[in-house]
Amino acid sequence: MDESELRAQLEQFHPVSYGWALSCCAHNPMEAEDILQTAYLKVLDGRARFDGRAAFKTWLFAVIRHTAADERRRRWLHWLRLDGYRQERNDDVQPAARGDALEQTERVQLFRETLAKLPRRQQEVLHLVFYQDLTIEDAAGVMGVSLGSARTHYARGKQHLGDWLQQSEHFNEYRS
Amino acid sequence: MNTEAKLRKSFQELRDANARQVPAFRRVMPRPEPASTLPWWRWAMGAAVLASLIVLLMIKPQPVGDSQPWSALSNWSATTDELLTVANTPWGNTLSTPTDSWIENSTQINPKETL
Repeated sequence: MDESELRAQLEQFHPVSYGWALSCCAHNPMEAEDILQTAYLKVLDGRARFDGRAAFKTWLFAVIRHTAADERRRRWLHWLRLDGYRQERNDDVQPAARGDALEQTERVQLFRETLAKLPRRQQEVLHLVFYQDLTIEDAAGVMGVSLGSARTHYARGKQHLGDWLQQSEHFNEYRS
Repeated sequence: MNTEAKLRKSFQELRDANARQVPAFRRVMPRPEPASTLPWWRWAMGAAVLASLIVLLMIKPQPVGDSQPWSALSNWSATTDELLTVANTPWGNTLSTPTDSWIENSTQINPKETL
């Protein structure tokens, strides 16, 4: 696949890739954009090479997930050096401010917050299945876990999220 | 409506909200690198270094060939040869060592007389 084809594929999946990048970085829009740019660069300069063993979308999501994990590790090391502590606090403020600017509905915001309470693996598998319409098998491929493990995360995540939303007055449909 | 359908609906709302803030693809997409990113002066410096190397190789002295006369080897003698001739001198037959005379003298002295 040459560069122009890669660019076309990236553009086609750009909206869903952004949604996945948001999910990988606790819904921080600026960080999601950075992660996406780094991932695209990896794809274009050949550091991440598509071998055709999986669907392009599944492979791209795995690249984005790895990039987000690298970014988290980098920030963690930065935080360990202490000089980045203040910076991180500033970063924490940005999503809310950006979110207000975009007038996100309270219901969506509450859903995001509830989703964020789940362990990372459970968040990932639920996002990939319900948001990205992937099968659990493809989700397992993106997450780099076995199918059995992905199924377990899926079942637990679905159970916990359903229970928590049932207790919220903003999600009455979960009570019926 | 079962839990899966409810979750799918909630995720659909989330997807709609996210879709409204997707940054433009062009903004996120890294711009392609130009064909040559090196400025002209770097090319010039590289060419200058290459030219210097060629000149240095050209003026480098040629290695000495087999023009030395082989007779020089036959006339050569080591500077330590003289030490070998000194070692043949019969020192032990003509001279007594100082240690022997000291032993003989020491037997003639009575320690009581000295006190």
